[in-house]
This record gives sequence, C-alpha cells and structure tokens, in this order.
Amino acid sequence: MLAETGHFLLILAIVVALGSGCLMLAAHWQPGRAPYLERQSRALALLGACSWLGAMAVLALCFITDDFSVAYVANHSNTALPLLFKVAALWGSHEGSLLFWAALLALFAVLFFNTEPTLGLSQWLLVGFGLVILLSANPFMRLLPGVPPEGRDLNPVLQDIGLILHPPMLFIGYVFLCLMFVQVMANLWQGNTDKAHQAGERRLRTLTLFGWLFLTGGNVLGSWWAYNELGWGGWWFWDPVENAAFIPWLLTTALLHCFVAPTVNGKPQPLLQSAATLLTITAFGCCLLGSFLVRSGIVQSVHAFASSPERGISLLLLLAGCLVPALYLFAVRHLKGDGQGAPTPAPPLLLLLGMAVIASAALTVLLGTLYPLLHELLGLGKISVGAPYFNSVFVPLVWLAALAMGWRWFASHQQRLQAAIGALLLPLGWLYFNQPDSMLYALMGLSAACWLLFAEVTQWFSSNSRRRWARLAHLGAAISILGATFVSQYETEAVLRMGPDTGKTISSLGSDYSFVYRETARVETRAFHAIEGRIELLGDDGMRLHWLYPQRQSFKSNGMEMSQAGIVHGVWQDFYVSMGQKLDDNTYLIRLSVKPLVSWLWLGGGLMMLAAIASLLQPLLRARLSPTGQRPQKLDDNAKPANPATAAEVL
Amino acid sequence: MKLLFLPLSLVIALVFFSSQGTFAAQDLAGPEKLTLAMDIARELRCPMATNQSLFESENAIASELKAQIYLMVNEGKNREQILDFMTQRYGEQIRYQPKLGINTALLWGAPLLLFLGLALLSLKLTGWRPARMR
Repeated sequence: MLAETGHFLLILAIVVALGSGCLMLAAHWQPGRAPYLERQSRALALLGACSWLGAMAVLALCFITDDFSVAYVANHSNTALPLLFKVAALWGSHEGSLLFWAALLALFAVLFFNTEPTLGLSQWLLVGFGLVILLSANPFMRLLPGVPPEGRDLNPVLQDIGLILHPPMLFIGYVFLCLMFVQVMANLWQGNTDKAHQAGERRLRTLTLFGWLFLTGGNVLGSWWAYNELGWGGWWFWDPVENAAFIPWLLTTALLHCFVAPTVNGKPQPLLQSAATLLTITAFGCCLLGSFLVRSGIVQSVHAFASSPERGISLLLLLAGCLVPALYLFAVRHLKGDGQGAPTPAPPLLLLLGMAVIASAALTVLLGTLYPLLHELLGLGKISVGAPYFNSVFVPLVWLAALAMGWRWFASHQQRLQAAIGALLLPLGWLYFNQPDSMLYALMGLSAACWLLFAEVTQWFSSNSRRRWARLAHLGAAISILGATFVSQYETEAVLRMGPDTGKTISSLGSDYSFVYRETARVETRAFHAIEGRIELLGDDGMRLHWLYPQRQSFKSNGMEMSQAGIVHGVWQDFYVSMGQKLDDNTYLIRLSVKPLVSWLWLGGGLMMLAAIASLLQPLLRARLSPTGQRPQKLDDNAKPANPATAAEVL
Repeated sequence: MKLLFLPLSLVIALVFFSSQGTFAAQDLAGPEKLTLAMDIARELRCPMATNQSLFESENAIASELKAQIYLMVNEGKNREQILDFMTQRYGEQIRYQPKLGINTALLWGAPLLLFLGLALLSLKLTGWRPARMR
C-alpha cells in the first residue's frame, strides 16, 4: 500500500506540475486575468513540491521498513544495512536519484522563484523529469508475486560516508543548473527590454554562484571519496562519470565570469549576456547529456552503479525537448537585433579569453568522453580515450587559464614581467634539484601556481585591493594546481610482496620512510570480514610516525571483495597503503606510496567553496552592518522582505 | 567465471613472484625501470575490468599483463615497443592514449582548434586590433 501511495504521489506531482505550467501559459496570453492565474499557478506548484517530497519520503519509508516487494528497495538494500545507509540508498541508484533530483528541483523552484514565468517554466521542466521517472525509471515498481525474503545488498563501494555526502551535493548542483536553465529561458521568453529582465539577470548570478558552490563541492567530495574508497589511490581518473560532473563545473566556472565585468548604466553588457545565456544552456545540456551517457551504460565507467540501455533514451528525449526550444529562443533573441542601438563598450578581452580557455577545456573533455563512442559508430573500431590523453591536453589549457587568471591582478606590465620571470625561475630552480616524472608538466603546473600566488601576494601590498572572494577562489585554484602537480610528479611508490616482519624504505623528496609489515589480523564487522595488515611507518631516524591498517574486505551479503586502503593524511604528504591479492600463506601483494601535497587538492577546492559562500553572504552581511539598515542597492520593486525568494534575490 | 579467475590469478601471481625466484617487481634493475613499467601499466586499459588501467585492476589478466610488462622492461624493451606489442595483441582499445592518426586527428586537434576559434571570436567581438592598425 505504501508503495502505491508513493506511486500515486508521483503521478499527482506530474499532473499538478502540468496544471501549474498551463496556468502560467494562460496568464501569459490573458494578461487581464494574470494575477489570479499566477496565484493559482503558484498554489499548484506548492502542492506539486509537497507531492514530490511526499513521494521521496514514501520511498525512504519503504527502505526503512525493508519493503522488499518494491523492486528498487529489494535491489539496493537488505535488513542488515544500517539505518543511515538505508536512507542514503534512496539516491544510490538510477531511479531513486532521479526522484531525489526532481523532488529537490520542485522544492528549490518554489523557494527561489516567486514570479512568472520562471515558476511556470520550472513546472514544465518538472513535467519532463516526471515523465522520464514514471515511464522509464519508476522506483515504486513492485516485485509481485515473488517477493524476495531478503534484499540484495547495497554495493559495498557505496557503503561509506561518501554516499551520504557526495551525491546530494552533486544533485543539488544539478538542481541549480536546472534552475539556471529555467531562469535563462525566462529571460529569453521575456525579451531584452523588460524591467523584470534585470532582476532576472541578477537572480541568474545568484543561482550560478549557488550552482558553482555545490558543483565544486560535488566534484571535490567525489574525488576525495574515490581516493579514499576505491583503493587504487587515484584522485582523478577522467572516467566518464567523473567527466559528467566535471564538464558542467567547468562551464559554470566560465559562466560565473560573465558576471564579473562592470555593468553599463546598470545593464549587463549584451555580449556577456549572450555568453551567459549560451553557457547556461550548454552547462545544463551537458549535465543531462552526462546523465544520459552514464545512466544508459553506453560508455563504460568504473563508477557506474546504475546503468541500463533503455533508460538512456528517455533522458535523451528530455535533453532534446529542453535544448531545441532554448537554442531556438537564443537564436531569435541574441543573434538578431543586437546590432541596433547605441554601440556599447566591449567587455574586457582578457575576461573573454579566460572564458574561452575554460570553455575549450570543457568541450575538449566532452569530446574526449564521446570520442570512443563516435569512433565506433562510424565503424572505425574500438579505441579508448583515457587519463594520458586528458592530462596531455588539459595541463596546457590549465596553464593558459592560470595565465589569464593572474594577469588582471598585476598593476603594470613591469610587475607582470617580474612575476613571469619569478614564476619561471623559481620552479626551474626547484626542478633542477628535484627530478620530476615529466619535466614539461611539472614546469607548467608549478609556474602556473607560482604566477597565481605572486598575483595574490601583490594584492596584499596594493592599496586598492579588490574582489577579495574572487581572489580567494583563484588562490584555491593555485593551491589545487600545486597539489595536483606535486602528487602526480613526485609520488613515490612500490608494489611488492610483504609478510610479517618485512619492510621497505621509500624516499620521497629527500626524506626516507620505512614501511614495516608487523602482522596480519582478522577483522569482523557486521557487513564484512577482512584481513588487515598492520604496517608501521618509521621516519628517517627510525622513530615511529604512524600505524597504517590496509584491509581486504569480503562482503558477507554478496561475496564481493574490496580493498580498503590504509591512509594517513598529512599536510605535506599522505601515506597510502593498499593490500592486494594473497600470494601465499602469509604474504600479500602490497602497494606502498607517499603522495606529497595531495591534500592540497581538496584544500584548494575547500577554499573555492568558501569563496562562493562568502560572496553569497556578502550582500547580506553588508546590509546587516550598514548603519541605516538600508540595502546598498535598490532591488526590484515588488520585493517582499519576508519571502525566501527575495532573500535570495538580495544576493 | 569468477571462481575460475581466483585460482588462476593466484597461479599467475605465484609464478610471477616465486617460481622466477629472483624476479619480482622490486628486483627490477633500478628505480627508473620500475617507474617505466608502472607508467606503461597506467597507460593501458585492463581488458577485463570496466574502465580501469592495468595498474589499478586486480583482474587475473591484468596481473599477467603487468608481469609481461615487467619482463619486457627487464629485457630492455622501450616504451613504444611494449605499447606496440600490447596493441598488437589486444587491439587499439587497450591504449588509453590513442595514437595520432587520421581517425584521431579531430580528437588531438580539438583543444587547439576550440581555443583558437573561441579566442578569435573573442577578438572579433571586442573589436580588438593590433596597436599598429588602430
């Protein structure tokens, strides 16, 4: 009965969204009755949001009560799963994650949009999502009459704190991409002249900041999770699933820079406005396309926990249904008619070039992800495009991006020249004494990071330092680049057989670390039994630094074997030990590695997120702190202070 | 299948690590050779696993191929020779970095073309001209 209630709520949500969307259209064509119709539309949207959330709650309840007659629950949970993971299993696979995505979209649409046509357009998007869920990914399907007595387990890889944090973060990012798309569609719909349009542009900026914040979080957490959990010590593999989250992030990063340039008479520059529109549409398209690629199983991925061919086509239809009208409206509004009127000053060239670099990086990653597919479709045979390719094209692009990022902060060409010389000589000096894996990559990474750091340092001594939070985000990028360069150039590792009382010394950047295998232990938990190696880490002087406990886990529910690495995180380096196959009675294949500055990668990501949060909060803080209590700028006329949507608008 | 692979991988690992006595990964002559072998293992795709490199994969075939790489490095083969050998045996798909050819020209050219195209567009849209022509 419970599952049917959920199913009913799902259908109700779709019907209500359809009704709300139609009312919006009616309000558009009958301006006389618009206020009344819009009120009704809003009421329906609220009801719809409640049904979406209700459907999600029902699915969660099915998980909590172990209702294995529901196929989705039976496939992704069992009675022994801890409560927290039962709830998190909700978004652990395709059907549930789409429901989660749509429910959050419904909720956030009501919170952020209080005016037409944004609300109505978001309802149309929800109808699309609802139909995809209902027709091809219904999580409430029953397994009748053969109800299994016990469910299959949640994939062991997913049974980690990462599942609770990473997917919601990423899906919220996707939800904001959807909201951004809706906002852009509304802006296009209303045309260029409306007063409401300016408020729309402002709100797009806010939504973009939110979206960027959560996408950054999603990518950082995803990489952190893969590093800790997948047991191969990689932090980025350029896997299609990773790319599906990374491409929208790159495009949103470029998009964010559309709002940087100063406005002309309170109006954004038309060129940047067009760029913002196109970037939003592309980012949203790439987010759906990425979901399609990943969910349909059309590309092979190591992280694909949910794929089946027929699901893909419905997502592809949704993608087409969104992009065709969007691109049509874009062509009508932006490609025509921009020529007349007074010539407006062009935006800074540097800004455009920087955005061009990021956009080319995003499209290159997209092409690289799709290329094996296209290659095979054209009958040219199978090829693989993987990490070595992406690294070799991405590193130069990052270098160019860093060049553009730092350029603006220097006051004069003389300063730039000094910084450039410094950013070349300093890394060269370092590289002379520390041989990297690849001289070229190392030089590019280090010089990019140095250039950005110099740019930051000059700002400390400059009297008119500007844009604190943008600089913090750039600093975060510099730190991430530094971390990525160090860990990929100076990682030292050894793969060897180890048993009790064997040891190995690894030297990393001038220090020696000895790993001594002390004993093998057995570990029993509720979900798995494991063999655990206890490895002592000794420093230069023979003093014990840490203990490391890599495990080989066998899951009780499905017999899956997993390697859980033993990691000691540090500021200057991580020590990473993973345990491979058993070789004989008491020796195992062990991989030891010292990863210098790897935690800086995520530290940089954290700084970027902090910068986004700070710039979202800044206008609020300024309003609170200003003595008169007045807002610094006049916002749109019908702003109601009590409404959350207007609170968002203040940003 | 899985049942079959476990003993097989054990056998291979044992052959790799014990029967050859003196030969194990750490016995490769010099750290350069070891790094080379690991780099090559990172550039090749495991034929069994879904999108994992040989270096990361724990499949039996991956262990075998890694042993093969170590052997070839020890024999003094260079990177290209080993990659070619693997490509011949397992097809173009095993290389994560596709070879530059007519079929991958677009792939390799794309970053440059995209950047040049977008940069030129930016120059045109901002009406930028070299100082001399202004």
